[in-house]
Amino acid sequence: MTAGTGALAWPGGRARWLAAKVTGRLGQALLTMLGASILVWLLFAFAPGDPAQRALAARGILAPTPGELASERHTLGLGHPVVYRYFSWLVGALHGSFGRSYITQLPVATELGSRLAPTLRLAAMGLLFMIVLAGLSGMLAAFAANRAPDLAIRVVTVICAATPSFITGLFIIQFVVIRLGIGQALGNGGWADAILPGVALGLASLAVPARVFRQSLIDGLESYYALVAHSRGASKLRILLRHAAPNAITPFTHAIAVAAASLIGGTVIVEAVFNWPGLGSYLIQSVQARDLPVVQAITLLATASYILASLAADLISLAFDPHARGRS
Amino acid sequence: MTVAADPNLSRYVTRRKSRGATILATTSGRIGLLLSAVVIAVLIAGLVRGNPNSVHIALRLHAPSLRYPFGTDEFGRDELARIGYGGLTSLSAAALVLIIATAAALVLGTVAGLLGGLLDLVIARTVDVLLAVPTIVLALAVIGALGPGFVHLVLALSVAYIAWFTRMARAFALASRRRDDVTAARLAGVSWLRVVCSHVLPDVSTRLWVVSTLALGDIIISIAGLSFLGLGIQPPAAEWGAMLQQSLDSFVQAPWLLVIPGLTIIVTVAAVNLIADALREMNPQ
Repeated sequence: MTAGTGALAWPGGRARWLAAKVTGRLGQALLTMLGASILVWLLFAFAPGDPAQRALAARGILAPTPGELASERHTLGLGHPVVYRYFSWLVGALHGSFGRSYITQLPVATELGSRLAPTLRLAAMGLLFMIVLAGLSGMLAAFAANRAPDLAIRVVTVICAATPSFITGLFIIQFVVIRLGIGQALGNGGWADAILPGVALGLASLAVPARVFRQSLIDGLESYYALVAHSRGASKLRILLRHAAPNAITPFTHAIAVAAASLIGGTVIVEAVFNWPGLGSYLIQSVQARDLPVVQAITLLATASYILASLAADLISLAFDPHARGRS
Repeated sequence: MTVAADPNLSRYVTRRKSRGATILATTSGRIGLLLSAVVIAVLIAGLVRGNPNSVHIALRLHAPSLRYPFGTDEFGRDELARIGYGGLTSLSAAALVLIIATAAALVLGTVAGLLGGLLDLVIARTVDVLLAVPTIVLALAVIGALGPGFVHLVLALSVAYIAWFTRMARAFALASRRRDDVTAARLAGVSWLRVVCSHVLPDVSTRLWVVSTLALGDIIISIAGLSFLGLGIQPPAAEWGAMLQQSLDSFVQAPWLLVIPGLTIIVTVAAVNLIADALREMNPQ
């Protein structure tokens, strides 16, 4: 945006400026989603090999007769032009229908529906641990910058960044579940069982948000407004919480949105580790069985959830950022 | 005759330091080099122990000892040798992904940044869309379409990282176009192609390598993760992630089969991340 298009200069004032920004951002998210749908569809439409043969092979028919092939081609609608096939798939997807699984022949959407809630529970738990741990450690590190707690936190975050969530998960199962007998390795998809895999997910993705939060808080503590507050007798803790933290929320939110992408990816493997009855383990089973309609649908869902996460991050920072509120 | 010292002289003179010396100047670089020395020592110790696939049923699930420092697995195979050969597989796959993705991104990003227009629009939008698909999910989708195996794993991860690198290469190319040496060369009548090859590309590629190295740790993690799922490098070939998967069969009696490959991955990724951090500190963008 060019200079002078902040809320103050916008005709109609703050409300309309905000509305215009939010609409623009929503449009961008929709376009990205549309692009992703084209990309994901193309990847599977042009995967090497004959789709009809692949669909039959996934059901165990390795040497189909010409008749079987022809009827499968007809069921899959392979005779239609590419653009028609894409749009009919897209219209179906928008109505919540992602075709039928090659293997079970059931609609993909019914399978997905029962597995969505456990995955959301797990991702929410991971996100919660990430935000709480990154927030606390970033704050403590900034408060004690360059002293022992800061250095200890730095060492821990370097180790966390180097430890993928599935290895943390395996270690948790080995040492917490089996040796100490706490929790269980065969999750039923409920909130209580989501704690241990959630810890694994949160630990693996907290490094970048913690580092960003620490640095933004330190920038705040070294600023002139912090000096002014200090000269008026405010304590360091008050300056940190009252003055530095609100300004650090925008970069922190964006770092969380970026980390959420790796968290969504991590969920897939952590689900396999904890036998979680969610979309991730279903995705892996489907990739192993080459059940492409399922892979296609879950890829699209994961992308949509990431686009929503980054949209939410932008809207949250729009609400918190003093610059976005005043002049741009 | 003396020349008045130009106060800005130090800004014009590029100081060249040897790369190793500068890495050692940062704490993260020193720790990173120390850790990578440990990893390389373990890899060499493993590689000289001979065939990682030779089976000794009599020696199965042997706890770590002087004879077998990392113990043996459920087939009595020497775990240290498997860590060595597995590391060779994992790390060469990671290096391949890094090289393919960086090289492709260098071309795509430079073309998009310099030519602009419709081509730039198409490349930039495609990159935006690809970046919205989580890396592991994109890699899984590509493997779903192509099938598992070493080559497809490398291909899938290259696709997953190309988008990220292309976005950066494009930004570097846009910045590079405005550099003084590029303007000077163009004013001197040097042909466009030559300006690109001898001024823009070297600049963009140096900066791109620095940032793409930051992703190497992530690439190693993704390879181990996909192989753990049985979708990357296939058993019986030794590979760190595949070793973790195999350890699940006996990890209650033999925790070292889980802990040793796990720690090896963690230490390797920490070493790579720390060295990449030090490289970035040396070349601030």
